[in-house]
Amino acid sequence: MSQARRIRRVAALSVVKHDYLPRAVAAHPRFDVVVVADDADRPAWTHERNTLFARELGVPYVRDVERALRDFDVEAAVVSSEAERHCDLGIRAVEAGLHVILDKPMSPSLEECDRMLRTVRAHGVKSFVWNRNFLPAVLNARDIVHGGALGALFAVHCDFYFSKDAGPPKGTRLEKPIDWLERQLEAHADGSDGGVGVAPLGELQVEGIYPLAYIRMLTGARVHRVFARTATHFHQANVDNEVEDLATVTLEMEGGITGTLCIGRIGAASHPDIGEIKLHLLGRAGGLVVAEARPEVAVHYRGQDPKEFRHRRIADENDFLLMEDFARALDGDGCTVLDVEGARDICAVIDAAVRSSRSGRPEDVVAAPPVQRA
Amino acid sequence: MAGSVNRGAGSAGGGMNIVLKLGSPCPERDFDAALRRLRGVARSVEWAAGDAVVADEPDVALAAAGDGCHVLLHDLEPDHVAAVEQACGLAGTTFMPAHAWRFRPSVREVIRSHRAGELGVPGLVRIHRWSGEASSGIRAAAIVPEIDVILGVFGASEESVHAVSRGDDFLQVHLGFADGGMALADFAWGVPGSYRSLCLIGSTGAAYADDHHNMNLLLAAGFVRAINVGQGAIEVHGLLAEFVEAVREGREPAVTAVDTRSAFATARAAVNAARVAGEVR
Repeated sequence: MSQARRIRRVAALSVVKHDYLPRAVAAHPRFDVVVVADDADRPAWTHERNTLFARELGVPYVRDVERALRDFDVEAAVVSSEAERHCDLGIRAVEAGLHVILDKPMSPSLEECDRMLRTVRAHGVKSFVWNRNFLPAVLNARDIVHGGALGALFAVHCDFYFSKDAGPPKGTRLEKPIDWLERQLEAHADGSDGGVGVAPLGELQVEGIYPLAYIRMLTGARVHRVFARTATHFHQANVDNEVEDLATVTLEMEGGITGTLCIGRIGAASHPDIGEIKLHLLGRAGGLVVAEARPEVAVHYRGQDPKEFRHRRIADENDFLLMEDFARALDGDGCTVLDVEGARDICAVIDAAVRSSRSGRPEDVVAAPPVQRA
Repeated sequence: MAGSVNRGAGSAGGGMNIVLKLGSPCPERDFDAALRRLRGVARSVEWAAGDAVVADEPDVALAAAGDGCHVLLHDLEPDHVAAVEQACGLAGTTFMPAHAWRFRPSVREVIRSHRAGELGVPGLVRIHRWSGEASSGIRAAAIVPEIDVILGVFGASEESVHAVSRGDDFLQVHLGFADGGMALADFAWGVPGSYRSLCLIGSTGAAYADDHHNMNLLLAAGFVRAINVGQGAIEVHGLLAEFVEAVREGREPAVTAVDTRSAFATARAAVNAARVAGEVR
């Protein structure tokens, strides 16, 4: 085996959210997850989840991140902690000389994203932030756009509705306000704990990176100004924690491109499957309407669980292709489809959208820190 | 408006003669077909024999109103609507602006579901309208039908308007309503083909009326095409039926000049906002 194609040893740091990310790493033939690690002072539930995952993979669980990074001869770290810890753990891995994969969102804090970006630049490592850009329908859209069938794009619209519940509906009378972390821990069972952490996260912060990464990949353009409206419309947990579950954003982009985003955690009753997720693209030569869930197969049968999706996605190789992309980047072939620079820009768009929703005015997107010249 | 009927035809069971005065052969064909489907309604060519007029020229509509006819005005310019409304008011006849999009079967079903309470409190309306027609400049009247539906869903005027445009062929409108309600609507002209989508997200449910869901697939020599099944001219039938029923029952029609004025005011605010690069009010 050549040096370039060797299997990379990876440390999984804090596997406390969905474990799809470290699973995707472990499933790819070019990567071996050899250790799970977290800080010793984390709460008990954190250690329980880490322990379960390590046991399943048959690797050690080390309650000392620095020791794990030092002693297990790893080249990369995959971080799937609470969102507010992504950058802290990522920076520690990068400072140990490792390439890094972060779960989404990169961070709820733009300052943390900037810190992460500076660290990655300073150490010259490869970085990757999880996304859905390699879903079949999105790749198809990319090929059509980049193939020139639409001409120069001037408008890109994305609808990103997750038809998931998030605890009691808005208006439910409870003895005390819903604690965000407790709610997220409960939600782990059904996979709706995308906002796990102490800090409450609105839907823009939890899921916004996905549609904004589509828009970024399809247009190649940065967003410079946004106007946004947000609401707590569906879930009492969002009301109690003052974070939106529905948002609309108008994006003013480079090259005179207009973008829009509708995003919401709209409740399980509002769609028979995961939710209506679509792209609408307009170029000088034509338009394109894309259903992100396609291709899919419909399955219906007697006695079917009402919660079971009737339309099932097929041919979804997103996880594999993302890891393939990361492997290619590590082998020396440029950057990843969404590195920390791109994810930081998306975080800045979301930051501006949240500010706009509060100010009621369009808000400028804060540019990335300049590259330091030696 | 529920004034007395000058030329008969408003009485229950009475026949009604309708004159079509439409400049474009396309809507005239649709209105003619719709008219044939209505019981007790006949098309009249003779002006003097008409009880009601469907017109797309304000002068024609004003003359008809002055002559005691009920008027369905296929023109949403607010000055025209106001003038014809006033003329009908003086004549004591029924006036209805032709907000045809409300009566499109897919839109009607979304509105029905909303009004039945199936979707709960509306949170978001998302509309795409891409037209194959060339743009004649971004005019407020051109987006009134969609804005009308949005205002109808929220039952109130917007509290904020933000818009951006690109030349004469693209307009993006972002509206905010009380209690967090919001709407996004984009309009594009000169697209090779037409496409419409209306999505309403409510607190307990959602409705999706999307041309994308209603496509047939044509595989022909050298190409594959998606072909919109289409909804025919049923919207014209619904519009005309409502007009006729309102006349017969001597009641206010489902669409009034107030609706047109409200939608136009919002549409004009959006067009103005786009001209100054997204101003919010």
